[in-house]
Amino acid sequence: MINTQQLKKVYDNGFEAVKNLSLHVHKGDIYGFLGPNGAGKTTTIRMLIGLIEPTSGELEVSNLNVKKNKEEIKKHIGVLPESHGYYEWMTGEEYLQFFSALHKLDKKQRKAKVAEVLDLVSLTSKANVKISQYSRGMRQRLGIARTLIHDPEIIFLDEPTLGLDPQGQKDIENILLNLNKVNGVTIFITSHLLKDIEKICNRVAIVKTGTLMEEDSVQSLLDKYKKEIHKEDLSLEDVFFHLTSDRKEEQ
Amino acid sequence: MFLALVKKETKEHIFSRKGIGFLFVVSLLLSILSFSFISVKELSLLDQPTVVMTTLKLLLGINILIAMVIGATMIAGEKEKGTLESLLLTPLTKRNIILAKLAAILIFWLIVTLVSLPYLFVLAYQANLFPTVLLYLYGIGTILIISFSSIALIFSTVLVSTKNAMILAIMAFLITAIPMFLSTTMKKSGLAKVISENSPVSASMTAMKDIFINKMAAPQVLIELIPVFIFFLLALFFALLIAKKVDFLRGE
Repeated sequence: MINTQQLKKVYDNGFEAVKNLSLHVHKGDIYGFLGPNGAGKTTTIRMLIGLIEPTSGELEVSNLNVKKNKEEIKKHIGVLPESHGYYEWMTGEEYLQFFSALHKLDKKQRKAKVAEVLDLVSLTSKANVKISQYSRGMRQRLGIARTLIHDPEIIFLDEPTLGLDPQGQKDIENILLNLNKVNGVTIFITSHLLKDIEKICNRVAIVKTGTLMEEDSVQSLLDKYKKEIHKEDLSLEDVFFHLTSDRKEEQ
Repeated sequence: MFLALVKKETKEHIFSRKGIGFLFVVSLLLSILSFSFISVKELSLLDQPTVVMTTLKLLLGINILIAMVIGATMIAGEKEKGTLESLLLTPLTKRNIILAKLAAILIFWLIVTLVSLPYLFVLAYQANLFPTVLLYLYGIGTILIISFSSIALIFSTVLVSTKNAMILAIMAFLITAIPMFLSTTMKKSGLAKVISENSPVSASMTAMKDIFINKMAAPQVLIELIPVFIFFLLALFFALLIAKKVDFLRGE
């Protein structure tokens, strides 16, 4: 579903955000892309969705070369960027109607699809409420509904649970699990909530300062680091800190 | 899909408090001006063509300014609100985004002209100038609105802040309007002469005088309007060219 080879991004100011990154996401995966702040997660997502050009390397999404098929890719992916904005003056339904029209759905399809995605994110009862009155959790759910409006094969979610209360986080997790199970959508997600990632993701990649540290199934990573970390009830969080902590380098 | 964006822009910028406020300002100014033509002794002595010209000048000036303010907020506003990234991820091309925003400004212009038509009809009726007024308003007026809106959209695309884009747009408008403030003697020499001869605003004002007062023939007026047409083509060309730069804020 997603393949990158030696992906690299150097910004104009010389900052190397991503260094020779090779990722492999399979169809039906819920893939956690983890890393501390400044690890290059958002840059990688922006390259994968064709919003910014990589400096070098190859990247394929949905069996399409991203560099050569920037417009075609848009039909196959849904994206929820980190802390993005909404048209506050619209109602939830108007917002989704607007994006469904931009994705070229005809009027009949639009109505049905908007109702379907609103139901999927449990916002049907708030469909006619202005977005300005939505809570943060409701906005994130609306954002997820927008990513699904054109039936994408893959959705990219950049910190979808950022700033949400535990209930809000739980709601998003349930929506994602349901989407993956029932609709077969491949999910590429970044988050700092490692316990939740461990629960919902089947595969993860851990990056640090633009470099891939590990990429494997959650269970394989736990098995691999069991001997090295020496801790009972080893969690993904322990592996993450083990791989990304600066203290280890200093030692 | 293009129409969906035009509809959204129209709703957001025109059928909103801001848009209705602008409409109110325009109709208020027209009412004050019309009232002055009747109640102020000196103004009531003006001949009909001069009255029509003064009203047209005011209408064009205020509308160009409003179009530039709206245009300047359109792309930079999306960047500030963080909505541009989602828009860029739809099948809409960057050029279509610019054109849709331009179309929304044109719709606003059409609505304003509809509001002003009764005023213009009354003022131009006796001198039988109304058809000429319509021709000037929808011909030259529309060309000027598109040109200045394109410039505002260029600033809005290149800059990140709405405020900066708006300040630059207003400054650009004031620079092009300099010839209007120059005396006849000043316009005859030096840099002022060059600006006056090549300014689209100056050319449109000269053409207006020659149409309404001097009753000049169409071919002669069209020659006078060449700076307006060149300005229109250049502004639109650069707005479409700069569309490639329509980009969201980069986080890292």
